[in-house]
Amino acid sequence: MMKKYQQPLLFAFIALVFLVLISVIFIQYRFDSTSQDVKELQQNLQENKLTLLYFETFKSEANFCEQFQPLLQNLTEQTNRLGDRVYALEQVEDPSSIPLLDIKRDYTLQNLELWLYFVNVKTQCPNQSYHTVLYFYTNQTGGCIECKAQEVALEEYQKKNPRAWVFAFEGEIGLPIIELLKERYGVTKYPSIIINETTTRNGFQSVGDINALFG
Amino acid sequence: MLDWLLLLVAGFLVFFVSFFYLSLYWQNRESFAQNPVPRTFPKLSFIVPVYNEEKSIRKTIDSIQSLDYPNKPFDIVVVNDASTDQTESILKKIKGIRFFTLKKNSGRAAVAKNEGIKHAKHDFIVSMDADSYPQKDCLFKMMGYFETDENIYAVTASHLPYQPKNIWERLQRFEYTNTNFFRKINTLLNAMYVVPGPLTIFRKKALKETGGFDPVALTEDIDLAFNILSRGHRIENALSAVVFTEAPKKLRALFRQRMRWFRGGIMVTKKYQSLLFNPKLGDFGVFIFPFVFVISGILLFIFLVRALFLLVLAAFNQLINIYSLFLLHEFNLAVFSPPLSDITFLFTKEAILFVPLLLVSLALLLLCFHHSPQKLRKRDSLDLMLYLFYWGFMMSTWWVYALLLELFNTPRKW
Repeated sequence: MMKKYQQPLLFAFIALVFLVLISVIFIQYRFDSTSQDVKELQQNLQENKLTLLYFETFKSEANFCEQFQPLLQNLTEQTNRLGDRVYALEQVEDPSSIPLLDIKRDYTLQNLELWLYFVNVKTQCPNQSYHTVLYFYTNQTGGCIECKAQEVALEEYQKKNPRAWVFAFEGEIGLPIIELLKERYGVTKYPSIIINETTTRNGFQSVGDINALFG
Repeated sequence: MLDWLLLLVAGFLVFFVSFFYLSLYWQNRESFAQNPVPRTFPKLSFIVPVYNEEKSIRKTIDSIQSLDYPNKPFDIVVVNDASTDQTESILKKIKGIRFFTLKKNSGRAAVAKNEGIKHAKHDFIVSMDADSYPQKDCLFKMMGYFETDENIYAVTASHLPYQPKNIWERLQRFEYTNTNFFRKINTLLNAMYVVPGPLTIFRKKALKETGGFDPVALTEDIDLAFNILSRGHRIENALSAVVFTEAPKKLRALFRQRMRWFRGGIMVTKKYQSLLFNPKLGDFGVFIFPFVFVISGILLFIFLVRALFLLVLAAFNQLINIYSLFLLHEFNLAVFSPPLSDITFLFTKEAILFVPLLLVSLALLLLCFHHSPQKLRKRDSLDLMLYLFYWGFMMSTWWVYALLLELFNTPRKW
């Protein structure tokens, strides 16, 4: 067969290799572009942190909080977009895939840093009435059947309250810092939300419940 | 990880074979649809087994008698398998045929066909189904092959559903068109593994040497083809010779037909398992038989299990979505919407495999229609979509069901 059909077999082999290459490039592109976005977020965050440091050091800019608002807005939008992409990859990729786990870890660490940065900004700008919500979820199949509703409720709440910042964390990602946070805030199940680093609610909270928690 | 690996291997095999077939076609494109012109016109015997075919038998005989062929009249042998309807009284009125009625219904076309072979007078026997209507020029397109090689024991034709009207018939038209093309490609590998019931011409010695049709086989046409190939003989195909056949009109009838075909195919695989990977049989032994009858089955099984798993997962997610609506106390579309607008990030690994597979299938199908007398029309678009997205899945499910029936030794019905 080999000799008789050398040409068709060769063509089939080349076409197959070409197809495999395209697929590999496509799969790799999704991870590479997401990793790139995580890096960009890291850079933007660094820039913002420097601005905050500048403000703390010289205490010269009286209107710092007003000027800072659009920067914060951009940073959060970028984080949310990236969060959506990581979430999408979580839905379609093997949960144990190493590139996905790497991206998730990097993203989670950036998100954590962003949250801590916001806590600082809240202290520096008490008049801006910023609110933070920490949201813990899990993507393990059947691990959180109320998470979908919680995400929609948080999105609704955020739309109505532009000064509320939501930070979502995969509770089962296996990072020690996440375990530390869960212990600190008493997260016992998914979903869980923590309002302004003080009040923890385990289980689904509707938009009305969240509003009530903020008073 | 293992399931993904299996899926990957399955994908590679399917693509490799598809590309190989495409390339083989390309290499032979100029002679692909051409048939050798016959110089001699030997006398022909037709054998037609009938069972309760009162609606179609007259039309079938008329179509035989009106075939273009210089050496007429034909010897037409009709074997009535103890029909219970008006078939016999219709046969009595038809001139120019000989008919024989079996004392007891055998329930197998093979028995009636073998009886017909006994009564056939000539050295070339045309085997036909009683609900099939060949185009007038069929014999001219088929008979020339016998002159090219004494070792060609049978020549087959392309078959298409007769006047397809409802959706099941129309989808079968796509399938038949596809099958006809691939059967022709298989002849390039000397691996035409079926002598279809609607119309096949045999050398009489082929039927004598092989013992004719196996009455135990559910698919006696595949069984006989294997028998011929296993003896080192060839089966040819005249792609442009077309016979129209009554295709099942209802889903239930289609299901029964396919159960017979699929279970018959599995039976033949078991019967001829010693030919698997047998290099003496050339490409048929080492490639087509293992790939079409064993490896394809395994691939189908993998794809199907995976698809069912994804369907269950999707159903589970929808239940969560409904539960979410209940928790939210409102209908919110956000529950059902994908998490982002960038669609490329929503492609699963299956989708990455499925999209090229769909494109290759579409390309092959267009090629099949290019060589079919019934071309693709604009109004076929919906049928084309259904065929590409649904037909294969439905047939795979049925094939796996047939496999389970065989594994559990469930009684076979002809």
